[in-house]
Amino acid sequence: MKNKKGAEKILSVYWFAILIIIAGAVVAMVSLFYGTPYDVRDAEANIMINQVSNCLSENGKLNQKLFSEVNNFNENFNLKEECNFVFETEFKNERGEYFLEVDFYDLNNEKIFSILDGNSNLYADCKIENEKYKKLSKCVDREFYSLDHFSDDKVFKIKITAVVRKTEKNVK
Amino acid sequence: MLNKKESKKILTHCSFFSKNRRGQTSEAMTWIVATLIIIVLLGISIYAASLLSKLKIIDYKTEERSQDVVMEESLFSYFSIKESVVQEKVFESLKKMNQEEKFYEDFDSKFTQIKFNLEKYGK
Repeated sequence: MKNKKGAEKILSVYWFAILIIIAGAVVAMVSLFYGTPYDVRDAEANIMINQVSNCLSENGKLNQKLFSEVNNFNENFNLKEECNFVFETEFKNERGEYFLEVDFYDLNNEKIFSILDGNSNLYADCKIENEKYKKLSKCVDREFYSLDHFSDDKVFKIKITAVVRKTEKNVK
Repeated sequence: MLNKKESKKILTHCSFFSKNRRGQTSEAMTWIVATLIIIVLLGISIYAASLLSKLKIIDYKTEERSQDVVMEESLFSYFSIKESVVQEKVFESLKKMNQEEKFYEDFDSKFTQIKFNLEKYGK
């Protein structure tokens, strides 16, 4: 009888230990999965590209503000202001967490004009092939065609590159 | 003095390979193996959770998108071009982009839809 009671005590300690181990593992699994943030930089960069394409081109024609006069692009076009972008973030990165580049090409693929805004240093991250450092910034580029504001036969190919850093918030 | 029966009983009880000890050892082994299986299963689950956490990337392209604004912009400009040579050149380029899967929406259906709307409601 005494022996049986001792065995029961040992078993209950064992079950308690197993319970703690399982509970600990469940906590570890949940914190591992939910502790990792969603990487939304790809979606963010694509939304930025949509916003840029919407503000530069309307119904297939380039925005008049892009031109200072006929056949001449406006060198003072402020992308951030015209497209209602706010590049300031909660991070204390003075140079910024975003970069936007818009290149205008003719149909022979010759670059005619370019607009840059944001932290241009981030663009270098797009060139990195190393898998380990690929997480630094997310780069998305897309192309579309739009007509000259003043002519229905002059078409430009517009390449928009959006770079979002925000590594701290999106990658663990 | 112990009699023969009692001494045999004590000997059996003290023997290292007694039936009772063997039973206890096999029972302990069962618990140890069970514990190891539980720990291994939990380890696999934790590893799977860490692998799944790495897949928490919201890919704009693979998410169900109802429209591709950038592609639509190209199509609007395509239908606005007056010169057929330029129009053909742009269409070839758009087709190439479609083949390279650069669009997030079905190109052909959007092309037909915009064409139908422009013909119906006028440019």
